[in-house]
Amino acid sequence: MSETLTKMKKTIIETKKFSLTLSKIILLGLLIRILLIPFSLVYDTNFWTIVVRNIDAGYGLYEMDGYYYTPVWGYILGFVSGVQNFTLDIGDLSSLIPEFMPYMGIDGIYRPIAIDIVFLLSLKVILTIGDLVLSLLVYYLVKERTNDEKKSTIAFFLVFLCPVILGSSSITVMPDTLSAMFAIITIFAIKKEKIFTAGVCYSLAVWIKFFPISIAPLLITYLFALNKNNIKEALLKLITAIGGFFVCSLLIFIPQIREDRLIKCFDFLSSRLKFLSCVPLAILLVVGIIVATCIVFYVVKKRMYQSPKLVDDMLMEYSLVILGLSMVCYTITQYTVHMIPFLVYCMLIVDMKKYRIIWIGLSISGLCLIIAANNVIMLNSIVEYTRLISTDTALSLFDFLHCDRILGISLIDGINYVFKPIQKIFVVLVPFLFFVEWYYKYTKKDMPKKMPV
Amino acid sequence: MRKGLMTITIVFFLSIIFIGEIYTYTDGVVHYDSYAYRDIENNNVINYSVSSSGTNDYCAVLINNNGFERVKELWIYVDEGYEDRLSQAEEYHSLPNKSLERLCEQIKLGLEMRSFTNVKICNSHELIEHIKETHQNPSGYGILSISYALPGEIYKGNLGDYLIRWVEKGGCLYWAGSVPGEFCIDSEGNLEHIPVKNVCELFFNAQENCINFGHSDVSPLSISNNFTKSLMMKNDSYEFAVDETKITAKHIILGTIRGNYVSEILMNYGKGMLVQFSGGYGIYQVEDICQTIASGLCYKSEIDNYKCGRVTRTTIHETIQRDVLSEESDKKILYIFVGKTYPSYGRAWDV
Repeated sequence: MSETLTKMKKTIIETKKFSLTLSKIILLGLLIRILLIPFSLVYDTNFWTIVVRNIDAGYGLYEMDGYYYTPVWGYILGFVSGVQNFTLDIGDLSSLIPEFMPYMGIDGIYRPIAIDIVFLLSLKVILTIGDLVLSLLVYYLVKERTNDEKKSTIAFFLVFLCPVILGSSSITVMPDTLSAMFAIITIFAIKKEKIFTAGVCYSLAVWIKFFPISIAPLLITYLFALNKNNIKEALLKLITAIGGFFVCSLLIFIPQIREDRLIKCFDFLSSRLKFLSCVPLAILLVVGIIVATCIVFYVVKKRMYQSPKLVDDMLMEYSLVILGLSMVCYTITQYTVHMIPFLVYCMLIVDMKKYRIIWIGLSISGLCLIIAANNVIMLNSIVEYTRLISTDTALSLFDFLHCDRILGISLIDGINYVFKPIQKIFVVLVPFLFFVEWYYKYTKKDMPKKMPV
Repeated sequence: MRKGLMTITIVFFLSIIFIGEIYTYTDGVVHYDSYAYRDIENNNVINYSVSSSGTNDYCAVLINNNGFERVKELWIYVDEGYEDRLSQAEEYHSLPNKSLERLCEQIKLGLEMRSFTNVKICNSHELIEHIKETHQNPSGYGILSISYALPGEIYKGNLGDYLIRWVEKGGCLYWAGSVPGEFCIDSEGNLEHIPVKNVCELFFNAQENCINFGHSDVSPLSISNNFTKSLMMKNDSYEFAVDETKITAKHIILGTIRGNYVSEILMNYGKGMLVQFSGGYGIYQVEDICQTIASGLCYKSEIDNYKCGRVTRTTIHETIQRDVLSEESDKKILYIFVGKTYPSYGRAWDV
């Protein structure tokens, strides 16, 4: 009895200790994010100010050029604009800096524009809430699986302070973390049998950024695996989830349906899938996706049915693999945000050694590429609104980073040449290692895999 | 804790998203207005007011056109065979391959936003009719060509052509996205090419090619004059930009410059005006086209004065000083626009 009490006391003390650590991580993460408020990738944030102008002028999201994604992020920009118009006195959201025109000679992505710091703050508050919730959700996923406060705190740390997550929401100002957050909430909702909510959340995840669409077959399989003894109920739940997805999607797309501009919401797809203008290639791709989905569905279902205790781990690991596969052709740092929560889970639950290397690789390459993409232009707002850095200093720093160093390659180009392939390698490594390992185990007939916890 | 976190998160974000959706698609949530008039008691003072139901910066720019009548009716010419003849035209050099319908819509909306609503979109047949109808007195009319080829009935690359005479008599020809007058379409619908050297001589009175087709290593610079500064011009693409040093006619330049190539040039042609906007149909190009046309700028324009400020959920009443030496009958334009970098409202007032 006294031994049990001592154990309990020890656990409570440890839990308190780690809660304190968790608070410290949150504070550290918030501090870094506060320091990053004036920085932004002007190329994207400049577009956000154009979108806000179009909304304020009464042209919605797609009537005038400037917004090329599905509408959810546009609505968030609309909300921020509304709050500012009704409560603040900040004037324009951006300013031209004519002295920075020479930037333009290097590359079209460098814009001589500074984004208002209050506008950046408003967007980043929302994105930081997303980061925090996402990290907490991964924390709970790990805690629920292991009941280990230390492991879950590490999971929180690895998500909340991951340079890719920090860079995406606090510098690039892109909503990828919100999409990843809703994808994880979807999993929670399925686990807790809030099926309609799961459909709604999945719809938000997909319509913020498209990547979570790739894990749809896995989520369906997961739903079936959780209800494998009652297929009827599983089907009913699937219909409920699809209902939630469609109701939410309908509510999101009503304005575009009414305006007959639904196709404009998918402009981002046409620009990224230009190679599909070749019809046979497009047909091949669609058939390939359908076949691959069926195979994934069949194989994963079989494995999940065989090892019901490991369904959560399988869902997380397979999702990571599928997300990795979906980014093989088109890898951009903020896209890899979608992989991070799954990666951290797999790192702590499935295979620490393998996934730790990938986390480190993606974080370092992501950090370097974000710095390279933003370089001096991320100082524009500081130059224009705080005057802490002069335009001359910024321009000379820009020249320093862009002048030829070795073999006609500038520092910025050098970073891009080195770290873009590295990032791609680490993204490819996820499915590659997984399939190699799986093939090895399959040939050894060592299924199901024993998951270390 | 976890369940609470999930519920709070979902409610929080759903609220933001759907309030944002309602805000984005509700007409007139943010509205703007302006008014301007010359003070009767004091001829040299112009009173103006600007209002916004949101928070914006604004500028009021006093433009003196020195007697040139500003364009009040714009016809946007769209060649219905643009896409069909594109590959043939591209044998000479590359041209923008974008939806003209969408571009027209963008320019029309951009002008509408700046209270310039008298815009018509026309095909070749309607353009010919319009030029013939307004031939006697084309002052106050503008044609914006976003197509590379003109109908042969009004233009064949000669001085005596209908279109050239129309501009000489006082019409304004705005050109964007290609070399002005490089192609014409004969009666059978075939594309005819006019050498760029001839076109440069005909339109720009330049002895050699004055149009940019290449990429320069020179860094671009913002043109440091009051037009660029006060009207926030920012077009930074240089395809088909004009080499300013080769232009001898009276002209003004605005926007940005790369080497000698300028993003916007407004030049005198007879009694009329020729305007070339460089670039291949980008957002900034459209912004500058709309700002130039809506403000009523011309090659004779001078910026007398300009004032900028902030208007937040109120109406601002201000005054701006006219040139003391100007005659009472001397008409000027006060162009007021709200949202400096990206205007969300504008209006030109004759004062």
